[in-house]
Amino acid sequence: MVVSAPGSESDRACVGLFVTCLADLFRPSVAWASVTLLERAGFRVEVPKGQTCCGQPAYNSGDLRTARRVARGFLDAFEPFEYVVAPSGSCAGMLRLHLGRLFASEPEEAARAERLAGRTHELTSFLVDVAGWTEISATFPHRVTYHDSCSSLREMAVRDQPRTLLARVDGLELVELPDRDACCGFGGTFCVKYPDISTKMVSDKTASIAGTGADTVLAGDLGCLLNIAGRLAREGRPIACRHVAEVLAGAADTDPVVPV
Amino acid sequence: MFDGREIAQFPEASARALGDENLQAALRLLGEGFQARRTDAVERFSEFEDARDAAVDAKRRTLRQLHHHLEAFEARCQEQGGVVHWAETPADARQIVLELLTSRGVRVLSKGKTMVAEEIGLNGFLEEHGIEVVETDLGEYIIQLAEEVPSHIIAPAIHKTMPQVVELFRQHHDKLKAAPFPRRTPADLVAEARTVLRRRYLEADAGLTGANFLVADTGSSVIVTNEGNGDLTQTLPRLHIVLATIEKVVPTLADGAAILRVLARSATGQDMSAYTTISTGPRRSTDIDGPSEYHVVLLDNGRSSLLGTPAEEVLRCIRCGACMNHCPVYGAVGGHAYGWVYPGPIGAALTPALLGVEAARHLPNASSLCGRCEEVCPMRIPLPKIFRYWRAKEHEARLNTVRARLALALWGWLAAHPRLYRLGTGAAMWILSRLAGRSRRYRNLILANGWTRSRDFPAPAGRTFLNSWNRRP
Amino acid sequence: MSAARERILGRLRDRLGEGSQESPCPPATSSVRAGDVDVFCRRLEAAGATVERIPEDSVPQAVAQYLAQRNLAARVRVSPALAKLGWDAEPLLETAFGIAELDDAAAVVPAVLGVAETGSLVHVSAGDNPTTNHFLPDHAIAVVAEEAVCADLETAFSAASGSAMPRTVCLITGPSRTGDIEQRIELGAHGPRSLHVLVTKK
Repeated sequence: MVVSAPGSESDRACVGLFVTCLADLFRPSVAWASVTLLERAGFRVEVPKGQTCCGQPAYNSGDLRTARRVARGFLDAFEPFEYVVAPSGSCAGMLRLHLGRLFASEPEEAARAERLAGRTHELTSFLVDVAGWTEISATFPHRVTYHDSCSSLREMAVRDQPRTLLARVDGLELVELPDRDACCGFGGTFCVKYPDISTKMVSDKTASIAGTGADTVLAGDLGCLLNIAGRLAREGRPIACRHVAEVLAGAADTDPVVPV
Repeated sequence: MFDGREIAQFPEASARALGDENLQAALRLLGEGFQARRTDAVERFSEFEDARDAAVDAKRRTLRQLHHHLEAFEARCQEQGGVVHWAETPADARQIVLELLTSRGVRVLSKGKTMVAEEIGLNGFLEEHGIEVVETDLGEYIIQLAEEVPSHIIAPAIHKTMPQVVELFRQHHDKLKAAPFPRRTPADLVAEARTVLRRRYLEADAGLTGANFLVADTGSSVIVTNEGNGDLTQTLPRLHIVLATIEKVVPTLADGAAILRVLARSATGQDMSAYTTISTGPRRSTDIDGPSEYHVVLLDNGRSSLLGTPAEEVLRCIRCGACMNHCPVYGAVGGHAYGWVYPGPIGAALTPALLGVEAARHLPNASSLCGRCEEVCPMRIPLPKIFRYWRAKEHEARLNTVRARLALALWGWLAAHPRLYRLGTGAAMWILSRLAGRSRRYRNLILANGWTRSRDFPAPAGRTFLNSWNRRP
Repeated sequence: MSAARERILGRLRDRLGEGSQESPCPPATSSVRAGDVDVFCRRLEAAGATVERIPEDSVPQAVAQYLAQRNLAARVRVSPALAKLGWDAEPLLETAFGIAELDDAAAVVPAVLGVAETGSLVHVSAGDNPTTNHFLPDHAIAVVAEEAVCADLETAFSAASGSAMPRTVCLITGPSRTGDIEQRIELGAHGPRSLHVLVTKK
C-alpha cells in the first residue's frame, strides 16, 4: 500500500488520524481513504483508540462543561502525536481555533490544547502545505463540482489545496460553483433546529450544483455532504456526493453517500 | 413598534418569510446588489485590510476610555452652544425628546434615518403625544407609508419590491396630486417622493437625526448619507436633535476618517457616501442658515454593561449592514423575521445584550456559524464567537429545551467513555444501516424529522471505522 | 438628567477603571496618502459628478454654458461667498444671491477644499456660505480652486476645523442618490440630481 515511504517504518513521521465522528459512524471509507493518502505521502498512521469526538456539538450548543469533558478525552488521546490530521475542516477548525478558548479558565489544559492546535491539520491542507506531497495516482472520469465547507474556507484557509490535488486525478473535470463561499445550510445542530431556513439554504446550493452539469459533488466535510446528498436525493437529482479523500485515494468504487 | 415579544415567534415568522414571494424576490437582489458592489469596492481599494485594522484600532482604543471621551464630548459640545442630555433607558430618551419638542411648540418633526429612534420606539410615542413625524429617508418613508418597521439597518425597505412601492405611492400620493400616472421606473418613484417630501422639510419645526459617530475632540455629530435628506433635516428647522448611543463617540476626526474609509465600501460599495456631514453646535451668530438650537441625546440602554464581557466587541459596530447583506439566514428570511430593531448577524449578537438572553434566545441560535459575517465585517467583530457566547449563557441559565440538554448530556457522557461509545455507536449504526434497506436512505426518521421533512437521511455504512480498524489483522 | 449622567459614567468607570485623561488616544494614522488634482477629478467623476477645469476668472461663463448645455433656464442662485466673481460678464445669466429657495433649479456654491483621496468637495458653513444652497436646488455647480485640493481626509478635516469648528462641515462626493428601491441606484433623491464641479486654476 505504501508507495513512497522514505526510509524504514520507524523513521517515518507519525500522524494521529482523527477519524471524526461522522466519518467513523457514517462513512468509514473516508477514513480508509485518509489512511491510504497519508501512507502514500510517507507517513506512519495511527488511529488512537481513545478518540470519539472533538466536542464541537456541545461547544456550539453552549454546553461548555460537556464540551470540555469530551475535549479532555481528545487531548489525552492525541497528545503524543507529532501531527493530528482530520478529513474535515470543521473538526480541524474546532481543534485549531476553539479548543484553547474552551479551556480558557484552566491554564494547564489551555496550554495543552494550544500545543495540540498547532499540530492539527485538515487532510488536504496537510498533504499539500505540510507534507508538500501532491503525487496523486487516481482516475475518476467524471465532471465534478467542489463544495467548500465554511470552516475549511474561513477557519482553516483550505481553498486551493483540494483543487491542487484534484487537478492530478485522471479524467476528472472540475466545474466551480457560482456561490462557492455560500454555506450549504448544514451548520451542525442548526439544520435540525431551524430546518426551514436550512432547507432554503441547501436548496439554493443543490440548484447551483445542478447548474454546473456535474454528476458528482465533492467536499472535504462529511456534514455538508450528508446534508447536500440528503437534499439532492429528496429532489430526485441524480448527482452523487463523495468525500474528496475517496476520489484522491482512488477509492471511489464504493456507493456514493446516497446511491444515485 | 418593536417590543421584543416577536422574537419568540422567530421560527414561525421565518417560515412565513420563506413563503412570501415578494420578500423572496426582493432578497434575491442582494447578490448582484449589495454583495457585488462591496466586492468591487474592496477590490478597487488595495489598502482595505490596513484600513480595517486602523478602524478597528480606533474603536478599540476609544472603548477602553469611553467615559473620558464622553465627558470630553460633552464639554466640547457645550462650549459651542450645544446641549447634551443623558438617557439610561429608552423611556428616558423618549421623554427628553418629547420635552424638547413640546416646550418649543413643535408640531411637525422631520427625521433623518436613525436606528436608535427605532430602538426606543420614538415615532409611535411622539405621535401619541400629537407630534407629526415625517420620515425623510426614502426607505424609511416607504415603510412609514406601509406602517411597517425597517427590515435592514441601511436599507429599511429592502423587503419591498417596486410594484409594492408603486401601489403604496398610489394610495398615499394621489390625493396630493403629486405626479401623473403611470409611474413605472424607480426614477419616477424617487422623483415623486422628492416632490412630496421637500415641502415637508420647510414645514418641520424640528429635525432629528442619528449619528454615525460623535467626535469628542470637537464636540460634533457626524452623519453619513446618500440622499441629502439628513442634511436638509438638520439644516432647515430651527431645532436639531441628535439621538446617539454612547459607544458612538470617537476621540478625533482622524479616528472618524479611519471609520469612513471602511464604512461606505462595506455598506453600499461606494468609496465614499455622497454626504458626510459634521455638525457642531447651533448656527453661529454670523450664519444665515442652520438651526438655532443643537441638542444631543446620549443613550446607554445596556451598552455600558456590555463592556468587559466577551460580547463587548459588538460595540465596535459602525452599522454598515455588510453582515446582513452577506448572511445566508438574513438572505433567506429578511429582517422582519428577527422580530426586533437590529436584524441579521449584528442583531443576533446585540439583541440578547439589550433585551436579555431569554427574550432573544432564538437569534444567536439561528446561525449555521458559517462565518461570512465576520469575514466581511469591517470592524472585525467576531460574530460567531459572540453567538456562541450567548448560546453558553442560554445553556447556563437553562433556557434551552430539556430535550436538547438531555441529548447533549447523554452524548457527552458516552463520548467521554470511548469503549462504551464504540459499542453503543457500533450497535446503533448497525441497526440504522440494516433498517435502511436497499435504498440506503431514510425518508422519515422519528428523532430527526427536522432533517427528513425536506431531506433524505443517508444510511450509515454499517460497521463503524473504529470497530473495523481495531479488528484489523 | 444629571443623575443618569452620573450613573452611566459610573458604570463605565467601574468597568473600565479610572484610566487617565492625560493620555489621550493617539490619532488614527492613515496609510492612504495619494492624490493630486487629476486623481481628485477622476474620483469625483467616478462618484457621478461632472468636472470641468477652467481659468479662475471664467466661472460665470462656464456656469452659463453648463446651464445652456443641460437645457436649464439661465437663472442661478449664487452663494454670497461667490458674489464677486464678475457675474456682470454674463448679462443673459440671471443671478440671485443669498439662501436658496424651494424653486431654485440651480445653485453655484463654493467648496473651500477638495479631497483627492475620496473625490470629495468640502463645504464649510459661514455667513456667506449657507448650507441650504448645497442641498436644496436640483442642480449644484460647485467651484473649487486647484490649490485647495488636499491629499486625504485627515488633512481636509484639520484644515476645515481650523481654530474653531464651524456649524457644518460637509464632504460632498457626487450628486444625491438612493438605492432604496430594489437596490437600484437613482440620482437626486433629496439633494441635487446633478453635481457639476468647476476646478479653477490661477
